[in-house]
Order: sequence, then C-alpha cells, then structure tokens
Amino acid sequence: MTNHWIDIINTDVAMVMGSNIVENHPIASKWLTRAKERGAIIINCDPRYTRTSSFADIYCKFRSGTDIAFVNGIINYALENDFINKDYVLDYTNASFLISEKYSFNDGLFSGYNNDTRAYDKTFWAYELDGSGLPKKDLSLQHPRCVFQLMKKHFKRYDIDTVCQITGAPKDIYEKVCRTYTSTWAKNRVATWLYAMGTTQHTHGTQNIRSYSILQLLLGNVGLAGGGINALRGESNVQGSTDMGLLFHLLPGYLASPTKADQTLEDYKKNNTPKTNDPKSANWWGNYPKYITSLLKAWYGNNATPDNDFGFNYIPKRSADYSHISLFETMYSGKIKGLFLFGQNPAVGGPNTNKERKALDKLEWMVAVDIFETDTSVFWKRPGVNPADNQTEVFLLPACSSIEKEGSVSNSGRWVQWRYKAVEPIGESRSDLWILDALHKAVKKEYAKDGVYREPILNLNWNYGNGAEIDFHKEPDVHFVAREINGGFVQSKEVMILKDLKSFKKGDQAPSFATLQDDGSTSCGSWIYCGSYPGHTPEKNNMARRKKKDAVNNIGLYPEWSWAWPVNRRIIYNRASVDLTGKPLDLKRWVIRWNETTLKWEGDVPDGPWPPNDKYPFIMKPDGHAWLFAPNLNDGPLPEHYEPLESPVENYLSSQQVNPAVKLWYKINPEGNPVGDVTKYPIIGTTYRVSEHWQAGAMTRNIPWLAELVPDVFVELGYELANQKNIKNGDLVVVETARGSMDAFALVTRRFQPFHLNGKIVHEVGIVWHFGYSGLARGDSANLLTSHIGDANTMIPEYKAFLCDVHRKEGGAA
Amino acid sequence: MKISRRGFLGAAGTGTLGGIVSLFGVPKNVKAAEIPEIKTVQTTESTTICPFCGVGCGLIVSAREGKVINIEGDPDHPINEGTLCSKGMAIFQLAVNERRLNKVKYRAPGSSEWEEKSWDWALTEIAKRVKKTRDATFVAKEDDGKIVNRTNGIACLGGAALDNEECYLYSKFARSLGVTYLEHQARI
Amino acid sequence: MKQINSIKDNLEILAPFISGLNKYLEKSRALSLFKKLPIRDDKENINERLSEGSYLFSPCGIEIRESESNSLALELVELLKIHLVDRIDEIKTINDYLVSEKINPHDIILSTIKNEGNKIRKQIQQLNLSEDLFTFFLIFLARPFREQAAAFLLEEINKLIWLYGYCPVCGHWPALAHINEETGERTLWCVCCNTKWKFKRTQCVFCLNENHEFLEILSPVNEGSYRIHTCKKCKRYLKEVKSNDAAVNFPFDKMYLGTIPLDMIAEKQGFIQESILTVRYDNSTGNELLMYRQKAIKEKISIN
Repeated sequence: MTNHWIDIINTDVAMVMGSNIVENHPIASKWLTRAKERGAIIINCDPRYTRTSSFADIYCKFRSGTDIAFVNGIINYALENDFINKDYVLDYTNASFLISEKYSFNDGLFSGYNNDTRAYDKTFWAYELDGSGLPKKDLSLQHPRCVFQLMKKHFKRYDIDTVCQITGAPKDIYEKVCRTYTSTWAKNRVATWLYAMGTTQHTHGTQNIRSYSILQLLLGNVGLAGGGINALRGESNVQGSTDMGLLFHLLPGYLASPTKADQTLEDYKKNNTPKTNDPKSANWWGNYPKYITSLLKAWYGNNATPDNDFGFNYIPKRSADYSHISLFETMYSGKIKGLFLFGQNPAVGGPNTNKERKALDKLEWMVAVDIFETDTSVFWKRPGVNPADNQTEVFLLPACSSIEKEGSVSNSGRWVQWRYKAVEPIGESRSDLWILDALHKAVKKEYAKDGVYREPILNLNWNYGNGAEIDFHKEPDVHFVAREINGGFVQSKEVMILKDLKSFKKGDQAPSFATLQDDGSTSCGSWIYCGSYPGHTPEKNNMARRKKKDAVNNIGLYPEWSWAWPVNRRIIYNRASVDLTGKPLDLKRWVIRWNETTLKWEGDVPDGPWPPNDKYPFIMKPDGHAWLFAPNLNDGPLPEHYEPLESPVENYLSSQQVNPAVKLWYKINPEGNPVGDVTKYPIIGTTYRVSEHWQAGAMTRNIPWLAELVPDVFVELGYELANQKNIKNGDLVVVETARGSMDAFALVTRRFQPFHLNGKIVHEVGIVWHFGYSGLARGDSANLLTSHIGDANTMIPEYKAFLCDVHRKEGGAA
Repeated sequence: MKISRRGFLGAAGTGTLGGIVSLFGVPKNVKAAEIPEIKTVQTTESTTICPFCGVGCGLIVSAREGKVINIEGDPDHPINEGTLCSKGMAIFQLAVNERRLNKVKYRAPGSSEWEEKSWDWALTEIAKRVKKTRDATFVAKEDDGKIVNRTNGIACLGGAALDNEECYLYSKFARSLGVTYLEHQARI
Repeated sequence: MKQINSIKDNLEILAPFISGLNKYLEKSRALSLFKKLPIRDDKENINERLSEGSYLFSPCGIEIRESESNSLALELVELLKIHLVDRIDEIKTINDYLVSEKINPHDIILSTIKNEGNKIRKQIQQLNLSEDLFTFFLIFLARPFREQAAAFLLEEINKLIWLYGYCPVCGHWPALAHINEETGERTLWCVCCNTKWKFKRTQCVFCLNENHEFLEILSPVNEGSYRIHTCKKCKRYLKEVKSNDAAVNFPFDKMYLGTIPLDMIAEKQGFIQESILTVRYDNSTGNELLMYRQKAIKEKISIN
C-alpha cells in the first residue's frame, strides 16, 4: 500500500476492484464504511456481486481477466474529456518525456518483439536523451512522441463501446463509473484504489496494476491522503516476508539477488545502481552499493572484508527463472531432491495442484514446519495414493503459534508491529526462529569436517545470544535479530547527513539508512528497516510503540504507533501531495507542508528532507518522475488488453490472443499442463475466498468453530446457468477443466449474471479455494482446476480466469 | 503509607458504613490476621497482532497460570479498535487446540504412519540430508566458467506466516546453503 | 461476625449508604454552586493544553456560594451519622465544629478544591480530627463543586482526547476503571470531579509501564469482573470493573465503595493506593502531578 488502512477514511471515491474487502479484509472495510459515512462514493467492479458490491454505491460487473480493457477505458475517458490534473501530470510524471523513434505499437504488439524468444528488446521504448544525457521533454505536451501524446493514441482504442464488448460491463453503469472516478481530477477531490489477488493473479497482472497507477497519476491521486494504489495483503506478514527477500529474485530490502552476470561485487553494483545526470533527481537507488555492502556485513560479519569482496560470492547466483511454477516444474522433473516448507501449503494453494502434488512425490526428503498437519505434509497419504509407493522421507517439525513467541510483523500499510509472547510454546513445539537457528547449527556441525564449498555456511555471521550449541530451552534472542536487521556501525565513523557531520562509535545502532556506508563500516540486514530498532534496549524498539496520538495534520497517521518502513513514512510519494512551493494540493487533508518560518517539513515524514522543488518527488525513479510510460516492463510500456490463457472469446482488439511475453509452460513442459478449449469448456472459472477461512486452510480448517461455520467446498453459479445444467442449490456437482476435476456443492445465486460479449452470452462460476484433504473441514481443492501459467513480469499464476465446465454429479443430490 | 483495615472489618461486623472509611483511613489498631482471606487468581494481558490477513489487527491475550484463557480485539489498537472478524474471533482455538502439533514426527519412505521422534534426532538427520543433497547437486561454476555457487537440489518455500526476524533468518539460512529455489506465498 | 467473602456481599451491605449518597449528589446537581466559575479557555487552547498533558482546572478567581456550602455540609454529616454508627463520636465532633463555625464549610471546600493539603492537615491537627473520616467527608463535600466545574470546563469538548493517567480536569488519579465487556475499552473515573476518560487497557495508569510482564490482574476467585490492575514496577494499583453497561450509565460511586475488598487484597499484597496520596499531598505549590508529568517528559517515557 502506498497509504495505509486508516487512511481510507480520507477518500472521496474508493474503487474496489480485484478485491472483496468486506469479506476478505472485514476490519479494513470499517474504514471504508467511515469514508462512506463522511460522504465518499464506493465503486465496486467484480465478476461476482459480493458483499463489497452490496455495500458499494456503484456496482459494475465485468468478466474475469479483462481489467485492463476496463481501466484503459476509464483512462481514455479522462484523457478525452481532459479530466486530468494538469500541473501534477506535468510536474510529477514522465508525460512530457520524449520516447525513442523506434517505439511503435501495432496490432497488439509493441516494437522490439522477438517471436522466438517471446521477449521484447526494451531499448525500443527508451527515452530520447539530450546532449547531457537527460530525457528530452516537451512541456507543452504536444510533441507526437511525448508520452502524453503516445498515451492518447494508445488509449483512444478503448472507447466505451469497445470496453463493454470486451468486458461485458453494462454500458450505462460503466459510464457512471468513468464519470464518478474521474471526478477526482479536481484538486480538492481524491480517490483511492483498493485491489488484491483478483488483480495480480493474471497473465497480465502487473499491467492491471499499471493501468490503475496510470489513472491515479493522471488524476493526481498518488501521494495524497485518501489516495494511492493500495494492495490489500492477504497474509499477516506477506509484506515482511517479501521485505526480507524470501523470493528467488530478491535479497532483503528489495535488492536484486545476484545473477550470473554479477561475478564480482563491482559487477553487481554496476549492474544494479541506476545513474542520473539530473541534479534534481534524488535517485535513491543510487545508494545501492551502501545497502548491499551493509547486507553482506550483516550476513558474514568479520568474514566479510574488502579482500574477499565482502563475501559477495557466498550468495548463490541465478541464471534462470526460479519462481514458484518453475520450481514445481523442476521438482516434477525430479531435479529437486529436498524441500523445506515453513508454513506453506502448496498442495492446496499452488496452481495446478494435480501436477504439484505429483511433483512432491519426486522428492527424496521434505522438512515441513507448521502448527498443524497440512495437506502438503501428508501428501504421501493423499486420496488415491498408496503410501507404500511413495519414497519421500518427511520430517514434520512442530512450530508454535504466534502468541507463543515474540517478534514483529508488517501489515499491508507497512506498519511493523511487535507481538509479545503470552504463553510458552505447547508441548515440544518451538518458534520458527528457534527451528531456523537449530537447523543452521546442525548443518554447520555437519560441515565442520568436510563438504562442498563450506565457506558460506562456516563463515555465516550467526550469534543470537543462545550459545553455539542447540539447546531446546534457549530461544535465540529475537531482539538480537531485530537489531541486526536494523543495522549499525561495525567501525567508528563520521557521517555527513545533509549538512551535519555526525560521529558514530563502533557498536552504535544506525538511526536511519541515510547513515549506511559502502566501505564495510556499517552492517544492515534490511536497509528499509533501518530505524526500526535504533538502539540497544527494548525501549528503542520503535516497532513496539503504542502511543495513540495523531500527527499535527490529524489525518490518522498515528506516527508513534508501531513503526512504518521506510523511515516511519506513513504515506509514500508524499512529496507529490504538495505543489512546487511545498503547499498542499489538498489543504483540508494535507499530508506534508513546508513551513516557511522553520524551513522544515511538517506532518508525515517527507520523501527526503530537501526543501520543496529541490528534488523531484518520485525519488525511487532515476528520473524522479512517476512513470505513466514504463520502459522497463517485460510486456510493454503501456497496458494492453490480452485474453487470459483460457478464454471463451477471441481478443476483440488485436490478433495477439494472450500476452505475448508470458512463458508458455504448456509448450515448454507439455506433460501435466494441458490447455482447455472453449468448445469443451465453455464456462469461465474463477476462485475466491470466504471470511471464515484463510488461504489454503491449514489454520482455519483445523479450528472447530470455523470448520463448523463453513464445512464444505462449494461452487457458485448463476440461475441461468444452473437452469441450463439442471443444477439446484445444494446439488453435488463436478467442475472440470483440462487439468482436473473436483466435486463441490452448488450454490446457485443471482450474484453471478451472464456476460454479453460482442453478441455472445458467456457464464462465469466461482469456487472457494480453501479446501483440501487434511484437517477438520475437507473438500476438493479448487486449484486442481488451475494451470501453470504466470504473469509476464512477476510469474504470479493465473488463478483468476480459466475455462471449465460444470455438471451434476451422478447420484449427487444433496 | 498504610490504610486502615478497621473500616472493612467494621462493615463485616456491623453492616454499617465502616467499610468506606478504610479507603481514607490511617492505621487503626488492626492486626494483619484480621484481614479476611479472599482468594484471587492472577491474569496477564499482553498484546499481539492477528496472524491471519494483512490488516494487522491488535489483540489482547489473557493468560492464567501459563494457559491462554481469552483472546479479544485490542480496543486501543487504532486500526481495529477492538473489533475482529470471524477468523480473528476464533484465534483462541488456534492457541488451545488438540490438533496442534506438539511432537516432532517422521515418516519413513514407504511408510503409512508417522513416528514420534526427538528434536536431536530430527535435526541431525535433516542436516545429513541437507549435506548429502547439497554436496551432490552443488554447482560452483557453470559450463561457461562463470561462478554461480548454488544448489538446485534443495528448494525452500514459505514465510508469509512467520515473523520478520524469522523470515530474515530463513533468507540468510537458505542463501548460506546456496538455495535459489527460494519462494513463498507472495509469488502466488 | 459475618465474614465478607465477596464483592457482592459488600455491595449489599453498603446499599443503603450508597443510595443516600446518590441522593445527596443528585440533589446537589440541581444547585447553582458557583458565584464565579473557573476560567475556561477557548476550544483550541483547551485542546492544546490537553495534548501537552496539562489538566484544565485552575482555582484562580473562583467564588462559591456560602449558603449552598453550609447546607451540603450539614446534609453530608447527617448521612454519615445514619450509616457510620461505629464512628458516631468522631462524626459528632465534625458536626460540632461545623455548628460552632470552627470549620467553615465555604473555606474548607475552597481549600479542598485548591488542593491546599498543608492547610487542611494543619486544621486536622489543631482540631484533633480523624484524618480518614475527615478526608472522606471533604472529598464528598467538595465533589458537587468540582463536578460542576468539570462539567463547565468540558462543556464545549465533543470528544475528549487525553492520553494521561490522571484526571484531565482536576488532575487527580483515577479511583476506579470501567471496562466495557462488549468493546473492551477501559474508562477511568475521577472520584473528585466525576470526570471519565478513556485509557489504554494494557498500560499502568500511574507509571505508564507497558511491559506486560510487570502488569498483573488480580481477581477474586469466581468474581472475575472485579479486577485489580497492579504494576510491579511502581507498586501501584487500580481497581477495575468489567460491565455490560456503557461507561456513561455505570454506577461509579457505588462500585468504587462496593469494591473495598479489592483494596484490601491489593494492600495485603503490598500495592499502594495512589489516588489517596494525591488527595492528601497534592497542592498548588508542591504538585506531584506536575513532577510526574515533568518526569515523564524528561525521561521521554512514551505516554500512552
């Protein structure tokens, strides 16, 4: 989230698209309710009429997988009617930048496409630079190759009629959505965009979000209170786990994990540190060398020296895609022998679970750490499998629950909140912290004598206050770990911060990432968390703060409640909430303002301390501007509509049926990856969640109260389809795709209505996906139906749109 | 400073107003033994954050004699202001639940049953598997002579339900082994 | 001798007195007690003062009505005579001093609401009064006046935002806390001026300690709604009652007096009743509240 939960109250118009906030983030919807009570208009766009829809002022249905067409149409509406915040667009976005003559767009393809590699040469979309290396601009926004004009041309194709043919949205309601949302171009009006997995889980998920962002930027809604682009995160610490680099391509703090091209630390710095010739660009990623060097010092301590490149080559290098789908494809091929699982249940939550469960069969060993038996940890006795045929060794380690240990979690709004231990872990269960500490110690012992390339293990900096030996009764001190993440000085050092020289002693904790160094004098486990624990005692643990006092602007920031990364900034990109003189665009709900007397910013922590207009507001971009045109994405600089891998219709707009830059697993590894055809599977399928269960169900399906509330899996379908198929509410039905089938109870409702697509009537059904064969509440997993195909940038699977068929199960009356 | 017990006892004895005076009184000639025994129970209330979705609602956990007796929404938390959803309301059964794992379990190849094991045994055996797999699959350099220092034989999943400090150690631990198949819920 | 084993027993025993006290308080609410009310700041200044931790009441320039002072004093003495039979001699002494004007109700009320502890203590010594009884008498004698001042000072405030443990109006420590069963919210109550304000559940009101390992709640067995929130850091405690009633409808006076067994339990375990300390020793020159505030600011303790 650029903003945070409480800030939703500040909005005038809230768009909920790709999320069902009322059912899946019920407490967050409290803030939406309060906004509504203050007069805000709530818009909800969803294939299904959800509880969020019933709460909204405007509900517009649209077909799964057509977000881009839907939102591009709103963008076009804003551009055509000039409903844009001109000053904002001119000053803070790259609208005026000129793009290379090589850029073009034709029949669904951007220039630079290579058919064989299914990849673009992105240099075709580069900025045109002037003699000093700065992007050329046309501040009149008239140049035919300026971003603004290219956008006008690109989005013009998304007129209202076209959009409605593609999406199945009713024209009158769609027009109302366009009109209402774009009303926030006015400086005294603001809109927020709330989305979740309904947006990301598509072959064009990244571009879905791009379209939201472009619209928000054109309307001048980013950086303001009540505005922003807000991903509603579904897991208590999926923000933090990402911040800590638990993804193949990321180290902690969003530093890229090294690739084969990074043979030395110098290579790595060169390949990753962006440069700018513009003195007004803060280019914050220019600090890359400081953050990677400090990370290496945190990981390898005294064993990280200039002589060994600070241990840079201890970190494994990637030379391919190792994302979830790829991981399971490789496991299926038998190349992955061992698997660690910490609280994840891919036998239910992974796409194409038939294939992923079979992939697990190929493992030699599995270590599953969880608080309950999960479907994944008992995969060897799943229905239809004879355990005797399965040769995998499984170690199931009992983890304790969150109230039996101490530590921090980061919520969707980047608030890092501290949790205390209320009671001791039950039985022989232990915290994941203890388990990880013990695993490292056990492995290190194993490598004491010999082994392949032992240095990364033996030289790992690992001392958390509980001794060198494994001791069941000694937890690692979580405060040691938290302080390592925050970082500090390993040598005494004088540091220039703005105009002040500050001296730090060896052992001092770092107060903020502005003090981190690239010479090995500082260590820091995750630079964005620098400032979370800037001292040695628990009193300095900012994450544990609980002072419920608002900031001077009184917009619900609560700056002394917990701590938010980065540097306790509650609304990021907030320098875009003021004009070039530092005066808030919205005086009523100001986020920051420049005080002419004190020459200081007031309100939230600004994106950098510089006076107004000294630096451009979007400090994480090398050019300092928000990117309406994004020349760095794999599938194009502007969002373009493509159909999902499985779609009931042909692409109305171009001959490119599917995102041309996605990896086609069904071609690379055909086995277990069939694609369905509309003639056999004419119905659109999607998946969703209910309030009473959580994700893959490992926790909630083992809680008696919740299992009783929602004991069975169901498929929801509309009356028209149910009548056609002779299905009644409560019937046991079979849902089938090319990859698998499942049994579910039919829930026949008016919440799904057929779509009229360019003269064709298409139905959609939705299946709750929490279920599996383990636990108290059991049922077939909806992901038996989904496929191995992912987004072109993130590789997030396309769970939310596929083709299926539904029929009554023989003898399956309820 | 000491407070009179007389008043309270007075109330006990006569049924008059004596009781209130104890609140404001100075010591009167009362012996400790005269204080009635009212047995008490001790409760601690500590704060935590809900382990389900990403809203980050605050909870208060009440514990007595080392056992959880109640979990409720934290009324002072600025996000949830004491309220909870159906899942948050059920967290008590996450803490007190006979289905929880409380022993290390091991399933041998081909077996249809779990066996209970000790931590010592499991950690040692896991470490052996890790070393065997890692050593067998480790690639220091690719064919083109470029350093990669990784093992593709081990994969690591999970983390979105762990604390930040745990995720950080997981990230560090996995990389120390050379794991690049390191993924979690954020990808799916 | 009847042994009291529960709060319930105690509430039953005290019922007649509490009923009388409520009548006394109820009646006083209809009276106009001030000739000159305390100074009230404009709304913005009030909010600023509150956010700085300064309580609102200042005795500067106030004038109270003599006849009402006299009549309330006599009424309160009568109430005590009826219900506190085992201390009837001491009450009669107070009564005599009032009649003989050795104690002037008007002056002693003013001294009380100005927190002139030394002056009051001197009088107690000179007249050889029972300190406990006389203090109780003074608090409830001054209560109608403080209550009226508090209502006046808070009149314009729609939502009281106050993050401190002491009373936002008169500065005294809370005598009792109410916990709303439904919402879980804790409301503190000032016995001196009847002001109520919200305060975090999981923090010591007195020393602001938030470390749960040092905070323990004691409850009588089988009477879990009656609680003693104790702090092992500062050794102070606060009585709490969990209730289904909203705080606005909660009978604080009744519960404050009815939960005396909790004070006994707390004291037996070595905890200190802070509210009484400030009644006695707090005054305009040696202000413990001010010291507390300054200490909090100096040590940068997270207040609330």
